[in-house]
Amino acid sequence: MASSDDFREFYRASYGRTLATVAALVGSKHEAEDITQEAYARALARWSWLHGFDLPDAWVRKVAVRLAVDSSRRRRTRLAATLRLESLRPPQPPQPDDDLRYTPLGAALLDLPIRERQVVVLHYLADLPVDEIARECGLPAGTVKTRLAAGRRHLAERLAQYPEAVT
Amino acid sequence: MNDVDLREQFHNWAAPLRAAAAPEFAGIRRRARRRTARLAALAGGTAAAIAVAVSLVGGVLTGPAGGPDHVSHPASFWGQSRYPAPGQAPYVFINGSASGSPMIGDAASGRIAGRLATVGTRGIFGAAAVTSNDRLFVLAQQSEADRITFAEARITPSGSVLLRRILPGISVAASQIYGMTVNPAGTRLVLNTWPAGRTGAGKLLVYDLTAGTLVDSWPENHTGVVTFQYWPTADRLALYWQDSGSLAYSGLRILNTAVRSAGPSLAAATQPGPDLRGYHRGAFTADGSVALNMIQSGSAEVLQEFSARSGALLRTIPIGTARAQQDSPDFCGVLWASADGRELLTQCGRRQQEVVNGTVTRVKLAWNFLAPQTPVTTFAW
Repeated sequence: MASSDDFREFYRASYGRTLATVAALVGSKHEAEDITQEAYARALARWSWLHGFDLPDAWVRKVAVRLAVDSSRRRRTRLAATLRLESLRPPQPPQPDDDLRYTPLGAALLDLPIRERQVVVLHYLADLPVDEIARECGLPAGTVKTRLAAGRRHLAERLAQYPEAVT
Repeated sequence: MNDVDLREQFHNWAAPLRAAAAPEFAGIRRRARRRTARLAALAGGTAAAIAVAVSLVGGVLTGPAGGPDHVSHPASFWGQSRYPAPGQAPYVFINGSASGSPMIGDAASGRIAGRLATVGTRGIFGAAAVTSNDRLFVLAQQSEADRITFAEARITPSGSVLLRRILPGISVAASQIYGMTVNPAGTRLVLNTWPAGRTGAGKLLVYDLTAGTLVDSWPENHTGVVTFQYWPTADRLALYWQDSGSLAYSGLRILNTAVRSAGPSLAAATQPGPDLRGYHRGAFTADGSVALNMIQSGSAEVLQEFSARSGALLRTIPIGTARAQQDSPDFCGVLWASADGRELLTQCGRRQQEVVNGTVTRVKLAWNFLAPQTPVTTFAW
């Protein structure tokens, strides 16, 4: 039966994977931690039936990705709303410990539209095949392939601006 | 840069994050408690507001004796139900939630017909399927012994639930269920399975529920998958086959389960049905006449109804906001549809609606339904 110990074990074993996926979507470690913990809190509330899943981490990932995509969309709206205030702000120094966007891949990822970023991250980071991404995102497989191809192309173009990132 | 290089870059980039220690478990527990309390407060507040509104309206219409129990819907398809559920088929299977165990309830009255526990094994209910008259539910049970077994739950004339184990089980090591549908007569069951680890092709299995035996199985192929299906007749299964390898097979296809498979692939064994490409997220009404398709239009979640025969768009019905769906673990889509699709119950987030011949009315049903998570069905109606 479901127990608190089962959940702790599942949480410790899968936390890092979920955090990495979310971080790639939102570009900020602090925000990724908050979203990841929220996803696990939701999983804990449903653990009595979730523990029977073959892959409960897939459920957590799905919730976390949904929260991350939503957060990215909200951030875009916030940015648009505050853009006109940018010139009034003092320049903000980069915060490498938090902001993953200061790495070449992180910066390139955040330049992608969120719909492309989502499938690229699920494919290359979470190692999901196209059919599974389609199922998880509620999209036709053809759409996933199209977004994946576009995302890969855009990513390559942006990474080419960082010679050290190209192998 | 090729795929392997890119994947390696991703994995190098993510390595420190993957190695990050999980924060203290107590923090997650506190967050979960806060969330539960927040939801409870929200539900309580909503219920109180509805009760006040209903009593005010009841008072105006019926005088002091009016109250929630006296509220009835006008004579219509829904009959005199307390909730707008069809009088003939009100039973719904709900596969547990944060606050309750699996159960079958009478959605017309809100009465719980029976709480269910898996039969002959310790585990959980995974997939669930139901006949169109809501009197027979077939439930897949996943146990700790790596077996998927099956049970049926029958509604008796008195409205109680009889639960018993049926059919031979299957090994979890060999298969996972990703779809399950029972025919309108309650005589046949189709299972869609994929191999454990999801490498290789899946299978479509057809069972005779009367005899309790496996009738036949059809291998899928590596490039195709069944996205949804329904039984237009007792023997014929209509399925939407999405094939990235051979577009010639993609689309709605019909499988005659009365004919032995003789080894062909599922795609080859089926005949093309109406040309309805593009209904990837949809479903069909029980008579197959209407295709129901969910799309996101701007900030709205919209239900489209198409004629399955002509492909003509019959109507569009907004059922909620995209934001409500994204922020909520709750279901967004059609909860129940009459055989011809003229009567619908929908939910998106916490918003529930009845749709009768295109007229939309906001309602509050006895339960809120969680979104399904493959391979676990959260409800069957």
